Amino acid sequence: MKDRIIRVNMKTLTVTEEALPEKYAAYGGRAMTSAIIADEVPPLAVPLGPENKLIFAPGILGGTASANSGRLSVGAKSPLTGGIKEANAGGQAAQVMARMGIRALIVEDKPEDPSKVYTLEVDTESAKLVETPELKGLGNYDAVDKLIGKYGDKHTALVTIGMAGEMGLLAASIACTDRELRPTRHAGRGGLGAVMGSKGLKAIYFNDEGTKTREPVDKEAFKTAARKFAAALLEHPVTGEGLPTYGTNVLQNVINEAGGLPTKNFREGSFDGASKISGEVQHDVILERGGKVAHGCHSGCVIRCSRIYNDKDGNYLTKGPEYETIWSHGGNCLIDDLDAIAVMDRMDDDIGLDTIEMGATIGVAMDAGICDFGDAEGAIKLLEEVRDGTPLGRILGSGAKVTGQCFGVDHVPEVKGQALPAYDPRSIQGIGVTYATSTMGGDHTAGYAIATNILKVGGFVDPLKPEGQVELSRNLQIATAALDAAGLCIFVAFAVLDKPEAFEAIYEMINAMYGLNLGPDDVTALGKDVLAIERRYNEAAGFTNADDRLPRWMYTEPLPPHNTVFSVTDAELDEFYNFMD
Amino acid sequence: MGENKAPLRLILGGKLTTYHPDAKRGAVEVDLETPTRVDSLLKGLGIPVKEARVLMLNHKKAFLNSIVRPGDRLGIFPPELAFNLYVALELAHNDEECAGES
Repeated sequence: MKDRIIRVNMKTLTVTEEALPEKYAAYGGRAMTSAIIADEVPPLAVPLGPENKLIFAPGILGGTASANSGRLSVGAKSPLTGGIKEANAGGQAAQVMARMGIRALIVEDKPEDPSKVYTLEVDTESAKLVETPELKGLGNYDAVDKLIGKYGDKHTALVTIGMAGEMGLLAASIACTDRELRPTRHAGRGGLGAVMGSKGLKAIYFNDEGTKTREPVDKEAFKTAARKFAAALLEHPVTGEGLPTYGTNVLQNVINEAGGLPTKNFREGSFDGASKISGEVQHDVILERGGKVAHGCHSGCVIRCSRIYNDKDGNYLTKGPEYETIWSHGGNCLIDDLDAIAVMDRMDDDIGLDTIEMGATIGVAMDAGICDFGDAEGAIKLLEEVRDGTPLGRILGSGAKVTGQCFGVDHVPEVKGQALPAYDPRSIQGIGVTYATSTMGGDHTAGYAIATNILKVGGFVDPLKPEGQVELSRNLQIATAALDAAGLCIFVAFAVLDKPEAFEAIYEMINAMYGLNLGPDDVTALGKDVLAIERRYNEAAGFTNADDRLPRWMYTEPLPPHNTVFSVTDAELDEFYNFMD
Repeated sequence: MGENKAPLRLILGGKLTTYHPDAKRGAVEVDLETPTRVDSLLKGLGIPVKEARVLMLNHKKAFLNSIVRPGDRLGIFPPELAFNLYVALELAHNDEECAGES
């Protein structure tokens, strides 16, 4: 299958295909999306305007026989942060795109008639836009049902937006279907669903009939490296046992006992109700109701941290939910009802909302007195407001920062406009450096310092002290950018940080796939290149070092139970990008 | 401290929930009459020492020779849980309270 770049113009409603430019030959995933944004989207572009572009790209190992290589990168200038954005999703889209030879799909401009919505149909030979008024205003679940009714469930992968994306709300996500064709895997962060909505694109249908796993240049070498990689993932206690058994919510009790679980809108570091909504409890509830643990979100996943969560009657309700969601809608709002949290997860997926942003937003709304902390029914009603597009709902659907501004809340957990995730940086300093300096805004995945600060994977830096945190976060952010370019799931990092053979296997697979001779330094160089592209773009968009800061109150308000504040200095943070020329 | 009749709250992680009939649903309360060493407590619960790889006492690092008292909160996590937490959290300010070795 030849490499394809598909370009979709939503103004002329035309689709063209072009050859892969030589300069992008080694790029995939986040490297591809960020490079195209830097080259084609003016840094001062209005995010929901015609100059912005939405880019989908599988990683360079996507569609291969490598374990856990099916992550999708979605990029654009973010309407939430105002900077460059890569939102990363599981599901089947990336594997399917890669098998179809698609290295990037670029959506540009806007329709003449903003009331119309379209679906992009893509197969192995061509792509075209069709007007689909029947999808307008639908949630992701109903939209997917209609699309499956039209296209069937064989060789199908779907990408959709819900009401939030159509309304242009800043917390809007982009949904990808999983192996069961449910819209549960979201490119959640940064409001990219609003970018898709602004372009009148409701859905993308991929038909990969006739495709097969991508063939490497050196089949034997690839097979050897892929086996080594999969074995390392399966042998490692994190990826081979902890995550499959308990899912990401295994962290609930651990982070809570470490005093780093943001509670009551980041006012406390531990939550009395955490053990009621822990990964262990969730595991048993799921099995009692005939759900599923150890579920992979995309084909080729051997870690299988996903789960299928049924309601009390044993009927499918939602996937997971995963740790970030159970925290955001749980402890952050003083809610310890797993079923209520699962309902909110389902609503987020259906409306098309980032679960981190929405949980943080509801926490801010509770701080504002719009509803009481601990009121699960009230929280669900707030999500209904978003779904219905009421004035209050549109404010909430625009995220924590906007909600804080509209309701006079002075305690808003965000960096560069994006809500902070499930680790308080006053207890876990390393993640604070990532929140502050990431080109993405408040984001934990960009440099997961939890692993070394708390979980002690791949070394250890004291989580409560500033020493060593900038270097730790820098190294992790560089490594993560490279993983994102490869299309690998971030959770492979637990094995990669601990097992040298797992890291070797990654560049050995890339070498065998493409006939290259890369070494570890080349992987690092790729990660640095990606970060540099993104940093320069953000600088051109108006960001300065002053934007690389946590909310001021995190420097002044001690967080119980450790009663510590964030203590990495501004000067240290400003050294983060010292690897750039 | 001896006057405190509050129970000890235990958070058992992962497979350790099988060591207490109520641990499946979260934190459990255990009567504790007197200050007790963690290793003695583990023995009473039937938890093998090698299964208790991470100990968190009132959100701070603890050791096998740490003393738990009525009203305390103790998290016990096995090796396979909490990702690969093979050693206790290094919360430096806790050192003087828990001087022993794990």
